[in-house]
Amino acid sequence: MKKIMEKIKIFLMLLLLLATAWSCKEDDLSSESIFKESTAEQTDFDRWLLSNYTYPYNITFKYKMQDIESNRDYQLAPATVEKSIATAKLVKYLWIETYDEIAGIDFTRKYIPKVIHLIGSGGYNSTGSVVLGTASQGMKITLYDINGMDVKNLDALRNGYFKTMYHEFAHILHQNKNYSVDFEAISHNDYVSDDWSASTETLALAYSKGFVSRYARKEPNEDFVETLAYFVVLGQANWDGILAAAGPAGADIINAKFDIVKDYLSVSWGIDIYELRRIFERRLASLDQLDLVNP
Amino acid sequence: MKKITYLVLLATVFFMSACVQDHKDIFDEPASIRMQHAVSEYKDLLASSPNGWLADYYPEKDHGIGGYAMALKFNSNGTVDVSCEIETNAKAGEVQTSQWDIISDRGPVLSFTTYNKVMHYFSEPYSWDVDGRYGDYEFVIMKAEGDVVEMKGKKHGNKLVLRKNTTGVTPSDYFKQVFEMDDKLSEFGMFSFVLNGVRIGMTAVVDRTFSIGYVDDKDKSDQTVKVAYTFTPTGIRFYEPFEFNGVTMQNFTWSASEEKYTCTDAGINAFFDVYFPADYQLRYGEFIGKWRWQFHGASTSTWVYADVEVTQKKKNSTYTLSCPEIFSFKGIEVSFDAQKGIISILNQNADKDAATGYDVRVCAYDRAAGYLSTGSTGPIGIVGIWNKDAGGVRSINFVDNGKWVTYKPNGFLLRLFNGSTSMGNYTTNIADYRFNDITMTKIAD
Repeated sequence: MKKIMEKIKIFLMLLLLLATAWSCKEDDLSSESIFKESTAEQTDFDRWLLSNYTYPYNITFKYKMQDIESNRDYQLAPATVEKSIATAKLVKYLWIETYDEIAGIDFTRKYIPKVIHLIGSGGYNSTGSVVLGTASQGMKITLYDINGMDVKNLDALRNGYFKTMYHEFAHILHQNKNYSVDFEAISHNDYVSDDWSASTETLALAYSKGFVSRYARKEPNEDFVETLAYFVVLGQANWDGILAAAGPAGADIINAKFDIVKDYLSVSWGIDIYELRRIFERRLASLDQLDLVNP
Repeated sequence: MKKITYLVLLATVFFMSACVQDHKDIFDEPASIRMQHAVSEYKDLLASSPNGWLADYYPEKDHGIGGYAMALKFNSNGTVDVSCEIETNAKAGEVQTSQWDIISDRGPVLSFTTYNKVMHYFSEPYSWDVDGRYGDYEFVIMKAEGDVVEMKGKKHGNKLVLRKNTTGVTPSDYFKQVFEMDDKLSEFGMFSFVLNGVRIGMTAVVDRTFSIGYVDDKDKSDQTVKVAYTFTPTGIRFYEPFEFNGVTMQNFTWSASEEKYTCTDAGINAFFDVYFPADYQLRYGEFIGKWRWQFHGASTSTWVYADVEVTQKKKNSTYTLSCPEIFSFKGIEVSFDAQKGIISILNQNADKDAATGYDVRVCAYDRAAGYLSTGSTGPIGIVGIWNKDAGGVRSINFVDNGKWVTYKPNGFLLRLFNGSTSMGNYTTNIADYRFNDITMTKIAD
């Protein structure tokens, strides 16, 4: 009996060997790559993007819209080349280089989303609300309504594109190094999840409960990044306005959250939030030195 | 033991079958390489036409409002020149340049990658219209045969057929011819569809579609089939080959003398000729000219007379009716229904009052009941009834058009509005502000 078993074992092993030999018979690898760059001719702007986004930061700056890259729930239109050039300049100057300046280019290279995708139109929901920016897993940031951008309107830049960018980047930061659990405890009874946009959840109510925006009431992570982004990009006057609108009790809560944000940036990343804001403001004030027309 | 034998057998069979067959490739090259080749082939093809391509562009769900003539010139440097017969975000015929590419998606896809005021007019969303005009700007290439490339919109699925511009006609000349065709058709609202000598049924023109009525052979029920079309320099072309009773047709030329569209596809005997229903009154041009108005103004027992002039506003659609004797503004709009050959005066903001800047509004007025309709647009109003030239005199009598269920307007009055707020009757008008029981009699063409 044992002998037979032995024989079978040997037979099976041989068989296995044979099978392996067969299954290893592979086609040779083709020398031709299946990944090909688009063959569209490079413009000056394309070359500018290569030397200002791709080579230094490994960022793909997609101004040519591809529907497959975008949210299929929306009807969309691409950005104009003119607005794309202005956006590329602004994003680099007011966002990427601000972090370069305060935390060093290695920091930015490591954490910046690797794809920036521009959409010309807004992303309109059937409810009439409009999406201006989204970020997916820290890898890609999509900016909408580029064709509607007015580079002369600094308040719109603060409130629209740059609030979005600082907001999304703050998500990337806390996903890498978490913030203190004390933050969540401050307002934990006042988060309302998706009801944040319900008509009853007004901005005045959000202020009075110690939130800088309605959206901040969605959940602690959004609250955290909204607090950070509002402080950095809105400017002191607007920030003071929010504190005043919040009333003494609301302002105390916002200030308590701000202290945690400030300490987090300082301890976890070595970033002084006041300095970050100063850099942003200085750059915003010197926008007229930027050529937003020619790449 | 038996079990083991079976296992061994099974294992043998398994291994054998897993490896014995070597898959024969159907294609010589891997799929990705074939895709790359297809992409560059289509790229070369589109850029190869020195005079570009002419296309019928269909927006809206199920190509529901018909198509528009477009001219496209794909350049090998990645730019594309686009123009369209109608006004988009650019003027009609104005050329707009942006970028194009063939990308590989689920097949080679033509994409207009940067904003173009013509192309993206049809897909751009708005806060008040989140779907925009339901147009596509990415098209899956289905096939290319001869001088025709057939594509399908990726998001909404309407076909886009590119035809190589082989005659060298300039886009502006092409659009001019197309516009003339559009202009000719706009006078007619109804056609009769005749196939192989048999009258099939009535065809109504709605936007750029034919609604062809017919009687179902089996259950004798009335049916309608809708066919979208685009104007061509010589007539119309259907969205796709249209099959009816086993006959397939797509291209038609217009004959001005016969007032009909005849199918030009080989071996097909089909046409649409202009049809006037029994109750059809007059053609658009017949309303144009000088008329004498008779109406009740301040008093319902005294007739007021005035000479008015009817001129073209939007051809085959509206007129301006002016009369410096009775209106202290430029006049009122009269609408024309091409299917019935009738005219109407509907609620409207006729003009701005020079003194106050308020809207001068035509309000349908039921004088007997003492009520007026305050809407700033139709459908409430009065409709003209033609006397069929009785006694050799052509006259039109205006009566209630029946759209105001509660009251029966027999005329209109003029009232000032500041937005939606009524500012009282327009008493500074030259004639009285009331116009009832209007009859107009033709004086001169």
